[in-house]
Parts: sequence; structure tokens; C-alpha cells
Amino acid sequence: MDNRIPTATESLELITRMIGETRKQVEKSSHRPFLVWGYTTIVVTLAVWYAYTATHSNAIFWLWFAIPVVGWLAMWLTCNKEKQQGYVRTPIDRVLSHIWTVLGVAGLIVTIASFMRPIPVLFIIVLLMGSGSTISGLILRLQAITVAGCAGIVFSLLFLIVQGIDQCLIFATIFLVMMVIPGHIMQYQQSKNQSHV
Amino acid sequence: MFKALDPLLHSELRLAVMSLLIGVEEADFVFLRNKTGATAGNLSVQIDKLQRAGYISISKGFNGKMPRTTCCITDEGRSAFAAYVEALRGYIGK
Repeated sequence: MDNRIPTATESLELITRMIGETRKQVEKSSHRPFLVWGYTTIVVTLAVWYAYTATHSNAIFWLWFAIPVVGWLAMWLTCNKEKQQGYVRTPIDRVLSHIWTVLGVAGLIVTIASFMRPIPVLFIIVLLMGSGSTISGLILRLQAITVAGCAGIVFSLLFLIVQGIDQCLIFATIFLVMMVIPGHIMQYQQSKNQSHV
Repeated sequence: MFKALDPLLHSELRLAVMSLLIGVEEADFVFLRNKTGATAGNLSVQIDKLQRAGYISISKGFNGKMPRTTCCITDEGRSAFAAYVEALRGYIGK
């Protein structure tokens, strides 16, 4: 592209193409948080379940705090790598970032509170994250995320029925359904769209 | 009677930069270069022209140890872009 003077039609085509390029860039990375946080949560949850089953030590539950630490680190690393290939921030990015930050902090506070008082922590966490996924899906107009988020909200009720350490297995399964599977669906759709260009 | 097209926007590269920035809050130089396929030197000159016209604002920072130039469209740029698109519609009868 150079400093050529385009015709009126070429100008409109150029504007349409460039706006489409921005949208493609947004779609390109929208699956990443779902995969990073989904896999991190599943791995840590299974580690907690396995370690507690083997040792029956309550100290194992401190492992839950590995989720925000590993998740933020993985997000920072992947975002940093992507920024080197070109950085763009849309209003949607900002809104989603604020929503997930608030929900993340709320989740962290609930987790800390669960060490002080007996509260249905996994029920609340899944309810919060399910709401976050549903809102994200509605904003991004991605049906897979919206449906998965709604499923998470409904499945959170399971934690009021099932008790004990096996709640961890349900928690991991819900995150698989709510974040990992829709994340891979988005990734597949995005790579399919790219290959059609 | 056709409205006159803003000469600052009626250039392929500057129009592409404005079109990329219109839907985002901010974008860096690397993103603009990748999407436009322009050379760094030419893009730098055109961005400077847009900035001097008040259509975009530029901030310099760092991504780790790498310097980063970030651009965002101003209210004035947004108005000029809208007026340009409106004038274009007159030319092609839409």
C-alpha cells in the first residue's frame, strides 16, 4: 500500500476491508483466555483432588491459589508474545477485561473467605464464571460461549447436591464444558475463517 | 454538487490507517504496518501527517525492552472520517 489517490469506489472498498481486518484481529485472540483459564483451572483442580485423596491434609487446599498465579502468568506470557506481532485494543477488549477482572477479584475474595467460614465456594465460583462466560458470549456474539456459560450457571446447582472432595471432579468437568470446549470451537472456527481468506 | 473530499484522507495509506483506527481504542505501529503492508518509513511519514492534522494522537512507550508507538484516533479525526465517508457516498450515489 502506498500514497496513491484511490477512486471513490476503491476508497469505500478499502475502508470496508480495513475494518474487516480489525475484526479479524479481535477474533484471532478471543479464544485464548478461555483456553488458558480453562486448562489452568482443570489441572489445578485435579491436582487438589488427587493430593487431598492421597493425603487427606487440609493444607492441600492452598493449592487453589495456584489458579490465579499460573493463569495470570500464562496470560501475560501469551499476550506479550502477541503484542510483539502487533498490538490493538478495541472497546470490546476493554469491557471484557473489566468484567473478568471484577469477577476474578470476586472469585479470589470468595476463595479467601472459604478459609475463614464454611461457604459453598465452588458453587459461587462456577456461578460467577458461568455469568462471565455468558456475558462474554453475548458481547462477542458467540453462541458457543453463551450456551456454555448458561450450562455452567445451571450446573453450579450440582454443588448444592454433591458434597465432599468429589466436588472437584464436577468442578473440573464444568470448566471443560464451560471454557475449554467452547475455546477450541472458537479456535477451530477462527482457523477455518482464516483459511478461507 | 459533490462535496470536496478531504485531501488528507484521500490517499490510500492514510485512509487505510484511519479505517484501521476507527474501530479500535488504540493500535501500535507494528499492527498498522502488518495490516497495510506499507514500509516503515512511508507509514511513519503518513502517521506524522495525520498527527499534525490532529486526526490521530501518538504515544510512545515500551513493550518489555522494545519501544512501542501507539496510535489512537481523536474526536477531530473521527468527525473528519465520518465527513469523508459521507462525501464518498455522494460520489458513488449510495
